[in-house]
Amino acid sequence: MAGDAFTSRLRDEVGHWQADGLITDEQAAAILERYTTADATEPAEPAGGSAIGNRVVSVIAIMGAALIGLGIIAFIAANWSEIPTLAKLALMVVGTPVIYIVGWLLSYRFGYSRIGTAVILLGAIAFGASIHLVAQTYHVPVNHPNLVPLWFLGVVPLAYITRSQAVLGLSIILFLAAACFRAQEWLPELGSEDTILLLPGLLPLGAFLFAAGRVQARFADTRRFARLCDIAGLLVVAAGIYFLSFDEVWWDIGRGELSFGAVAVEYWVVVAVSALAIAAMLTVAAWKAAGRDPAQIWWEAGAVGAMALIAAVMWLGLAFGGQWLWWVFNLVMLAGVLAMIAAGYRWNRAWLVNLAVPIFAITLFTRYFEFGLSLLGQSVAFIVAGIILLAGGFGLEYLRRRLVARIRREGAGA
Amino acid sequence: MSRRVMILFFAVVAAQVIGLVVFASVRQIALTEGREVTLQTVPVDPRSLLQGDYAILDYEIADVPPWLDDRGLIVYVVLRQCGQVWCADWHANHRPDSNEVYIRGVVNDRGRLDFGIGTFFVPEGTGHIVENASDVKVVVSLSSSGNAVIKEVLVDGRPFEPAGR
Repeated sequence: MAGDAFTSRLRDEVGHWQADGLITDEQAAAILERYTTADATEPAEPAGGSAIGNRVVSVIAIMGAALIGLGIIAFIAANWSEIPTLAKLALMVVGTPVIYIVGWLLSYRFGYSRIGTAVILLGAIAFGASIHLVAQTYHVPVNHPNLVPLWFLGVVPLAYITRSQAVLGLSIILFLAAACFRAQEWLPELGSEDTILLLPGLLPLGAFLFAAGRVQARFADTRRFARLCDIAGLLVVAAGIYFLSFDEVWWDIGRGELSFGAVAVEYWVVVAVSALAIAAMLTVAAWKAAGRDPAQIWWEAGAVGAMALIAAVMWLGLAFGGQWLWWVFNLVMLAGVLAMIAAGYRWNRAWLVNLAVPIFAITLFTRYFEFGLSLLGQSVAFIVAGIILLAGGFGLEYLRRRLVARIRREGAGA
Repeated sequence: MSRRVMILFFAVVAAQVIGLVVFASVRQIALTEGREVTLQTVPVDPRSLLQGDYAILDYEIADVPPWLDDRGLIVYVVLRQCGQVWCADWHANHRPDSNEVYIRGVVNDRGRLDFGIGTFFVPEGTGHIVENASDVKVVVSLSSSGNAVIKEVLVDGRPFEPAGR
């Protein structure tokens, strides 16, 4: 069994090997997985192919947990009148910790760490179901702005305590959902045309997740969570830019009378707090990586600075109009995609290239359908789209394969 | 797992349970300790994906006087008994004296007052009972701050009982 000191040192060293480009993320995960399972009573597994096997077990277990979680939510939604209210409440209030205890025993007592993690994920879903059951019992509406934030706050510490990427994934989804539910408090008429005023807020949220990813990448204990936060952050930022890349959206904005006066102070407080947290996280990330790779620090700071600039342009554009801004955001999207590919190429991160290509493809085809359908007959548009899809797909796949092959050939890094 | 991590894990689990109990307790106390009033409603019947069937309840007292019609504004409705139900006597944008019976609402995007009691959850497939009723009244419990919790729904003069219909 590997001791705590050894695994702690190993995590630190593996992080440095990744940073120096000696091993890939997958290899780092496989090395750490091999030794960190010794924290439990599970015997070390044989090398070779076990990492894939472990991943399959994890995926199947998580799918099982998600299905059971959906079943619990459906059970609550049915509001079964045969069970007295107090019994239902007791079932959830007692049942949720029992699920956690089973997960903990499986993970840390009996050595079934992957199944145990999935059961802990089930506990996290059951906690959310319990919140909604209590709300249902007292006829609190499902869209109450505090229910999902409460769920998020209850779940996110477990991700770090159990070091579970699945629970962190759920936490990120809840974090974004919590922002959506809180949006009811940020605008009195959510769903009206003023709702677009909240859209630039996606960029601080995305930048927050991205900065969280970058700072976690600098610490051995949290490095495994970095990529998930990076991907979520970049996707949220891309979504914000995508929504404002439509010609029609800016046309509507130009005709409407948007008023920032309608936006509640809480929205700006969230933006300001996010900005402070992002600055603090980037400072810590830069301090931890000082002297190792200055270029990477500058790239990260530049990326977050660009996100801030884009958000500022969005707010100014919404405040003062400007139909021409749609093409600015298309150029921004293109620049962002190219920056992601360049960063992936420069630091041997295949996942960045793999993320950039679909974002580019979605934007490209959105633009095609946005303008193509108004100029051509539908049948011609679909045929041409199909040809473009095949040719574009071939070209993008060729580019992606070349980049990924190069990254793998050169030996990869963090 | 080290002892410290184990303690943290179970502390978070305990915090989750305490959070649930506190959430339920606050609502239960409001239900049992509050002032009971009956309000006249007009229901409609949509469906919640997460919480199942429910009826949206709109109240006669939810009308907003023009001088308070500002989205997001908190409005207190002072109530007086009008036969079987309680109706709106006068409105204020500040909390009335404690000797008054009042309910706290927020002006919503439809220009009506939202008292936080606009949703009544029913067992799956029983929403039509509320939807088809000719008269629906809601018995609510009012806290000293004017917050309301649904205590009971009266469908055509009788308490809502999905199994008994």
